[in-house]
Amino acid sequence: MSGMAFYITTLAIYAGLNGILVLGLNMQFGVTGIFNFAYILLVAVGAYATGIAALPSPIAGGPQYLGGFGWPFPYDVLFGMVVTVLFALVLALVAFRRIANWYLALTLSAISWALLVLVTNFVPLFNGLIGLTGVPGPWEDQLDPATYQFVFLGIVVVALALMYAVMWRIERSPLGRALRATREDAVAAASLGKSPVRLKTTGFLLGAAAAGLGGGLSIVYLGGWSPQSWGSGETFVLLSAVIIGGRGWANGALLGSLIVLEAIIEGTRFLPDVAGRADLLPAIQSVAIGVILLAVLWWRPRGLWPEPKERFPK
Amino acid sequence: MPSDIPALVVFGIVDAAVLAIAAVGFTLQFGVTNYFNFGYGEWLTFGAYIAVVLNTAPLNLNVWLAMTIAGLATAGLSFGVNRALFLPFVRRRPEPLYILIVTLAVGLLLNNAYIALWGTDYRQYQGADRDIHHIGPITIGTDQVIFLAVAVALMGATHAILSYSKLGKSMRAIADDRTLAVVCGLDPARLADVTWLMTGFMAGIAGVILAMQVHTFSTDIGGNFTYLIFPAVIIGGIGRAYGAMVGALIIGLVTALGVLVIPASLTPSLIFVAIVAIVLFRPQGLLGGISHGRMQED
Repeated sequence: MSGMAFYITTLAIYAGLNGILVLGLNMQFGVTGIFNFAYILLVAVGAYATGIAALPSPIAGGPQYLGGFGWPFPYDVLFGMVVTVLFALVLALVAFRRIANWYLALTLSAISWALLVLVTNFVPLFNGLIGLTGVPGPWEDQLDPATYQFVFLGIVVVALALMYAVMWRIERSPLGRALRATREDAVAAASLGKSPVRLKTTGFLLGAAAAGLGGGLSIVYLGGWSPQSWGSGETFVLLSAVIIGGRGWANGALLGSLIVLEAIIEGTRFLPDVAGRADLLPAIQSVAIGVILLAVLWWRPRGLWPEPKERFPK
Repeated sequence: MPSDIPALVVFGIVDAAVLAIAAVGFTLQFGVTNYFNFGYGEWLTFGAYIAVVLNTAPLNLNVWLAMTIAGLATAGLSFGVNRALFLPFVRRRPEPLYILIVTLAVGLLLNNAYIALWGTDYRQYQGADRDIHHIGPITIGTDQVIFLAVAVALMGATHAILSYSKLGKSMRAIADDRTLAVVCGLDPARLADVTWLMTGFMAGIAGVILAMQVHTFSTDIGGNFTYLIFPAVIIGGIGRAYGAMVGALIIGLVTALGVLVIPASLTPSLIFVAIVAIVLFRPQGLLGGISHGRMQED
């Protein structure tokens, strides 16, 4: 396999993984209207849970982590998804009935940070700052690297297509309309007998399933996951993608993911480094994302490819 | 090790003093403008860097003078960002969603501007007075005494302004009931200007003190500190200046005294427990925040 083919398949795999993550955040933030500024926490839960399901049990003196079930694909990723949804359920039960909107954003980001520091410093959980490493990919030991690359691409494409179909279906279902109604006006929705707390919880859990799937597939492909993978900046990039593309529907969110995560972040990777300033390129990428985000909010507040208006048959 | 307790309490109070300055600034601004500034940490970073630029070669200004100038410079930044970005966005798109994303984006832009301008190398002040004094069972540095004095002075000034001046009363009125305050003739834009100046000054001073306390710092200093500011504000009650002081004191003491029962690396989990407990049992915060955005249901 040539270097270029390898690069292109890797890029496609990343695009697919990012697409899954953006679909989940769009379900929570775009469709349901939950200001989840800690989405990456759910992705991390999915990644860690998948990791400890896939890794063999820890040996004395080696890296420390919980679990170590040694389960093969796809059971490890499914386990990661289930754990993420349960974790999201606990968060929703604690927070949703009592706080909402931007208070929720503040609280969730504070919780996410506290857990990040805990996981970083408390080594027995997930091997601390080093994180989980050597997580086996699907049939990685039985395939040569080139075939593995294509097999994994196939898995990501199937996962993304499934996730897209589910989200697309939900957005057009009565449930989707109820979710959007809660987003637009929770009081009005409640007056028509729709429970905002229950609906927000539903949207949150659906998004969490995508976050868990994306996190799980990420860790089995990358082979590892550490606290550096889930800083608060990661949520910001995903959030920018959803807003720039068009929040509230899967097509817009996926377009945003292509623009922000592929065109800006991957596309600028070929720019030459400024001598002695390796920190400059990421800074310029972030500034580009920030400026585009502000421009979109100013001129096209619903995104470049906005959610279509609701149409009802006469 | 009960003999450590007085020393730990002093540590906790000094930490709480810095946190209180920053948290009061954050919460006062929210009270008057009615939205959070998610980029607030970058205000602190700005103060810390302005002071270190003034304090090191070629200018070599006295560190306390540099701190004061940095406070004023951050007030200017705060005023300017509000006028140039926040205010136009609030007027154009009044829904809270937009302004929250805008504050987040501005924080990111500022942070990366600092990285481009000042790099990510660790910086440090020179000439801070680090003499250590032993008073009975406690040990405290001269610089820490100054931090405490600055915090007490700023908290006292905040209290005086809020309680006795017309400006402070207007600020509290607009935080309590925006519509009523505007109907009574208060000018929200002018109050917002003054508030951004005041809270910017506090953020700048807090940034410098925070940077002096951690000795060496980089461009992530303010952004990371917001994750202590948010819990302090949530615990105390969002929008309440006195709540932020109480929240800061609780966080400072809990993290300092926490090492008596659990390893130091785990003390942030105590903050996590505190947030969850507050959300479960007193979502409006200890002192009763302005509102906590409860969902309409039942």
